[in-house]
Amino acid sequence: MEITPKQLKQMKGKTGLTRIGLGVRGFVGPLGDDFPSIFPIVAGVLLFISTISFAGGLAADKNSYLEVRKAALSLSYIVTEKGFVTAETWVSKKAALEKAAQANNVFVLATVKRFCFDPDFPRAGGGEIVFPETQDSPESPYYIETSSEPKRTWLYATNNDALLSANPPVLISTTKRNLVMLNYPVAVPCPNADSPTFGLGMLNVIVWRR
Amino acid sequence: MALIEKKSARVKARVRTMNRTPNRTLSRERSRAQAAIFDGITFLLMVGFSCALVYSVVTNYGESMDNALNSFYELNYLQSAVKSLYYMNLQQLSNVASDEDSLAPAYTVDPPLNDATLGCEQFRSHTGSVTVLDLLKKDLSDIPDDPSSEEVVLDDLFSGRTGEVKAPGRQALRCALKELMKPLVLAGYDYYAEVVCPRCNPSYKAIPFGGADGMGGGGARVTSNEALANFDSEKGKSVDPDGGCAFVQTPDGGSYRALSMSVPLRISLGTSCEGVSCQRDYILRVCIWQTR
Repeated sequence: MEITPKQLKQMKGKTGLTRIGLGVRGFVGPLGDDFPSIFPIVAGVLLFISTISFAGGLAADKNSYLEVRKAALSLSYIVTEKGFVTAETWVSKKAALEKAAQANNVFVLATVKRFCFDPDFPRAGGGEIVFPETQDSPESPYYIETSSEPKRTWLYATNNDALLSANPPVLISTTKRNLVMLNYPVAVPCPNADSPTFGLGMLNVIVWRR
Repeated sequence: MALIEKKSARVKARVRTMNRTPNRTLSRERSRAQAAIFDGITFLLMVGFSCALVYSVVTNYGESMDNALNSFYELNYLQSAVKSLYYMNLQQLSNVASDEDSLAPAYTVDPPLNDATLGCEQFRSHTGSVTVLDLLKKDLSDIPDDPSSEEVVLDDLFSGRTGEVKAPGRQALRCALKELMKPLVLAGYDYYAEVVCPRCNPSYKAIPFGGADGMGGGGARVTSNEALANFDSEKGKSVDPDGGCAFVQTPDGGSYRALSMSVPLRISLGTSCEGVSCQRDYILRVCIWQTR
C-alpha cells in the first residue's frame, strides 16, 4: 500500500500515532491492542474465585453434617450400652446423654417407644414395630408427650428446653438444618411398664446443630 | 523553512521505508495483537479446566467418611438387635406374622410366621420369663446317639437319648429377627442369622438347619433373602457348610460389603454327659448387606 506524504501527515495529525501504528486498519496502540484480551483474563479470574468460594462453602456444609452425624453416633453409644431400657436405668442415661450433647455442641432428643403384646388382650394387636403415618402424630419418634400406651413415646431425654414447652409437643424436623435421626431396637418392659419381662421397643436418637 | 524541509524529508524517508517493506511490518504488528487475545483465551480455558477439576473433587468430598459412619451405625444397630435377643420374652413374639405386602416376601417361606402351630403363634402359651436365646440354646443341646459324631442340628427339636422334645429355638430366632430387623429390611438391606461351631471339624462350620414336622427336608433358614431361604434355588444350594454370611461375600453371593456381628453362645449339658462333651461353645452370627 502506498501512502502519500500528505495522507501520512493527516493521519499523524488526527491520531498522534507513532511509526509502529501508522497505516494499520483497526490498530489502536500498545495498550489498546491488548485491551480485548483483558476480558477473558478477568472472566477467568472471576470464575476461579467464585468456584473456590463455592467449593469452600460446600466442604464446610459437608463437614458440619459429618460432625453432627459423629455426635449422633457417640450419643447413641451411651443409650444403647445395655440391650434394654427401664424407667430406672433411663434416669442415669438421661443425665449422661444431656452432658455429652452439651460437650458436642448439639441438641439431642432421644425417645423410647414400646410395642408390647398383651396376652390378656390379644385382639388389640401389638408385638410388632409400626411406623407412624405423619411426623407430628403421637406415634412419631419426634413426639415428646409421654404415655404408657403402646406405640406412644414412653420415655424421652432432651437438652433443648424450648421443646418442652412446644405445643403440640413435637419437633418439626423440616425447620432444623443437618438433622440426623438414628433408630435402634431395644428390649423394654412388656406388657406393662413395670413388668419383669421384656418385649419389643425402639430407641430413636435425634440430633441437630445448635 | 529549513526545519520544515527537514521534517518533510524525514516523512518522505519513512514513507519510502514503509512502501519498501510494508507487509512484513504490518503483519508483525497484527500478529502481536492476535497473540494477546490467544493468550487470554488459553488462560480462560485453563481456568475452566481447573474449575471442572475442583467441582469433581468437591462433589466426592466426605464420601469415604460418610461410608465409614454408615458402617458404624449398621454395626451398632446389629449389636442392639442381638443384645435384645438376650432379654426378649417369647410370649411377646406371638403376634409376629408374615407380611401380606411385597416388601418382605421371604417371610412367607415355609413355614409362614403366622402358622398357628409352627409359626410365632405357638409362643402364646409360653408363660414365664423364657427368652429367645434360652430356647435357641435348648434347640442346640442335641445329644446324638453316636457320641463321636457330635451332630447338632437347628431343627426346633431337642434330640436326646430318650427321644425328641419340641424346642422351637430356630423359630423363635426367626420371629424375633423379623421384627428387630424390620427397619433395615425396609431400607433395602437383607440379613442372615446362623450358629457356627468354632471348634468343630471343619472349624467354624455352620450348624445345619434341619427339617421338622411339615417343613420338608431343609427346614427354614433365618434370613430375609428369598433366594437364600429357598433350599432348591441355585444360591440356596450353595450356602452350606461355611454358612450364609460367608457365602454372601463370595462372587456368587453378590455382596462384598456384608457386615456381621458375632456373640458367644455357651451351652452346658450338665455334669454327666455319657461320652459327649458337657460344654459346647458356639457363636451366633448375624450379618447384613445392602441389596437395594
